[in-house]
Amino acid sequence: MIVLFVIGLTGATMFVLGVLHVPFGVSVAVAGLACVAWGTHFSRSGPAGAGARFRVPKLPVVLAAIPLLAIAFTAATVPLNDFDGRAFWLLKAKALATERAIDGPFFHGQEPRNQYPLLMPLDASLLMIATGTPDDRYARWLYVLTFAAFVLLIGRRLGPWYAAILAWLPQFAFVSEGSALSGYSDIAVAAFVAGGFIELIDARSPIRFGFWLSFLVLTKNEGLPIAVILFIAGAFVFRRRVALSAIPLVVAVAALFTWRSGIPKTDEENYIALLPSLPTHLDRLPSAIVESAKHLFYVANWGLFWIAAVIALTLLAWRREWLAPAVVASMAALYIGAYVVTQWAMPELIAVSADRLLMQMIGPALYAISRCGPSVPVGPHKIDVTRRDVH
Amino acid sequence: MRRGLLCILLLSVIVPSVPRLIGNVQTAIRMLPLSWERRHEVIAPGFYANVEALRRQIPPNETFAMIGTSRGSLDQAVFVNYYLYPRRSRIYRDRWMYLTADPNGRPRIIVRPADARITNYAELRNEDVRRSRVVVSPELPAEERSRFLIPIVSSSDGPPPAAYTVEGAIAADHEARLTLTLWPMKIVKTLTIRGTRTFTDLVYECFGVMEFAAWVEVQSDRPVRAAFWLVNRAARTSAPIRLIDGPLRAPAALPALPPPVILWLLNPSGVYVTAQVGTRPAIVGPHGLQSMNANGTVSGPVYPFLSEKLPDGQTRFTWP
Repeated sequence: MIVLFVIGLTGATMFVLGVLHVPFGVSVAVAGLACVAWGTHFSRSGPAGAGARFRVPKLPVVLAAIPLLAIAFTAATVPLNDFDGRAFWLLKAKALATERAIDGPFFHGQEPRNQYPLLMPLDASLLMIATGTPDDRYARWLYVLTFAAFVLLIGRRLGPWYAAILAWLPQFAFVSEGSALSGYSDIAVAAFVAGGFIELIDARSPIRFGFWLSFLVLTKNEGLPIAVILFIAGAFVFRRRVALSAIPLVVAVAALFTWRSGIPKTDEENYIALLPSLPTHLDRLPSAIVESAKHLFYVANWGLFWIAAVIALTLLAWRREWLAPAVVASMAALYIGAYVVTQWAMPELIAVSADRLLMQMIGPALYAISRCGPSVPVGPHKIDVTRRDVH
Repeated sequence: MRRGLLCILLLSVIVPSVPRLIGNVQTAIRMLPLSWERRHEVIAPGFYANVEALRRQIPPNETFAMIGTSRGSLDQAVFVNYYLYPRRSRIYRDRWMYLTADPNGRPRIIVRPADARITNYAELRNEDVRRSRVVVSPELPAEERSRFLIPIVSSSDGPPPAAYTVEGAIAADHEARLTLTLWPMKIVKTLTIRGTRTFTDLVYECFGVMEFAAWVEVQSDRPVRAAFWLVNRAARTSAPIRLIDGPLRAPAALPALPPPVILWLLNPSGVYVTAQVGTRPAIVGPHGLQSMNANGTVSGPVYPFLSEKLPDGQTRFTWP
């Protein structure tokens, strides 16, 4: 969790201070201090049971390590060759590393997806600056590290068998577009969703929950509505304390909109403007659902994962454990809604994006499977699966 | 039971991953001995090396244009952009976007994104034009000639998306050596033809230039059969071009018509000549093709003909 939080906090701090035109070097230093401060805080107020002795079964750990090692070896040897990583995300990182500003000349040209949030490119730019090369050779390690940290988070909180499942999921580990071997930001979104979701299950730190949401907002366009979904769920979990969660969230949203108001919009689709057209596009709803649902059965990318997840989510809903089913259903509804109003060719958009959107829901889905799976005590941070979630 | 299901689930994600894992690791092992640049070249053969060449060829502060010729080439443009950053580029969806951009503001250097090579507008246009033919099966006349003139040829763009070319064919039953001369530029091209050679854009294919209006003299060591059409590629229309031997020997009774009808006067000779158009004289330069208003009957050592652009994009020729 620490690594993921550091990735999020560094990028978010650099972005928020970047909006205030704080020099890049200073914002990097502040981000470093923020990470140290948070690390200190976390070590004092970590999840219940921290420091306790525990026994980890070796087999799932070894199993989880195999794909991670293969990914690390491949990333160290083979240059980046996916589409979005080169077209948008790491190109932005190069620009950030070169211009040392989030609103420099690069963002006033006609670059595609100009208003995409910059959390991951900022982190990658930091690696480029640190290594002194604008090539993706070292920056791509960020994506490998994010995935490994995500697997670790799942291992510590849900159990090593679930970490092994995540580590071996082809869509996360090996496919050319969207996996840890690419420069896409979907693994980061998935990890931040999982981080926020786990905070909901823990119900201990609304401020930490708020930070996860702020990371989501600053990572991808869909991060904002997902953060809103999680925030609403947080209101049921944290009650009045959810106001604390709103602090980092509001700062991130304000920073994002302030930044966007100062740079041109290029080819991004304006879903907010398209939203009123939803009633007139309802005839597309059935095909949007059917086309999206087909991806649940793409065994080549998902194995039987989503079939198991749907069954587990249904069981949880039947048991009135609403949190995971509600979050997954709301996120799915969000994506379907976007597909319905999109001005792109809908089947084409679904074909290229549905698997990556499924990635973003993996945390709650893994939690649902773990709630229905065998109870295997694995460590001090494991979620207490005997506790019914009350939300 | 639950543990068994969990194992099945784990197996179900491992099985489709294993071949990819092995493939990735094998690729990585193969690349280990190579330099980082060479690894890029292995991933994008015939592309990345050209990108590196562009880095050397394009001055650092010069913005360059990348003009798409297909959807795939636009993707490649994005990658060129990525590798060459911070060099600035401007991506144009197609050549028309570039053509209609402010000539003072558009980049001077053009890169073809498909193979990351420096090119020019005419080459890109040629690539575009040669994707299809308007005259699919050109029918050739039975008449054979050893020398003839194509009185008007063009390789030019009109208002988007109109593009004009000359399509056609030359056929020779036995091997024939032909000399084609584009006038008045006097650009010479020699061809050896046996069988039928077709042309999609005669002017650019043979002479490597774009011209709005010129004419071609063809000489062959053996008689050949030939036919050509002026084609509007956007409108998918074609107008047959009459092949001629030289200037008319008798006055041509062409009608007097207002614009947009155009009278063309072709002077195949190497000296200035004076023609009579209606009641007025017209001087035509050596090897010249001159356009003017159609004022009636034409006489003199020239070949006159009329052309008119019709509303459907077709060009109608009136030959004497």
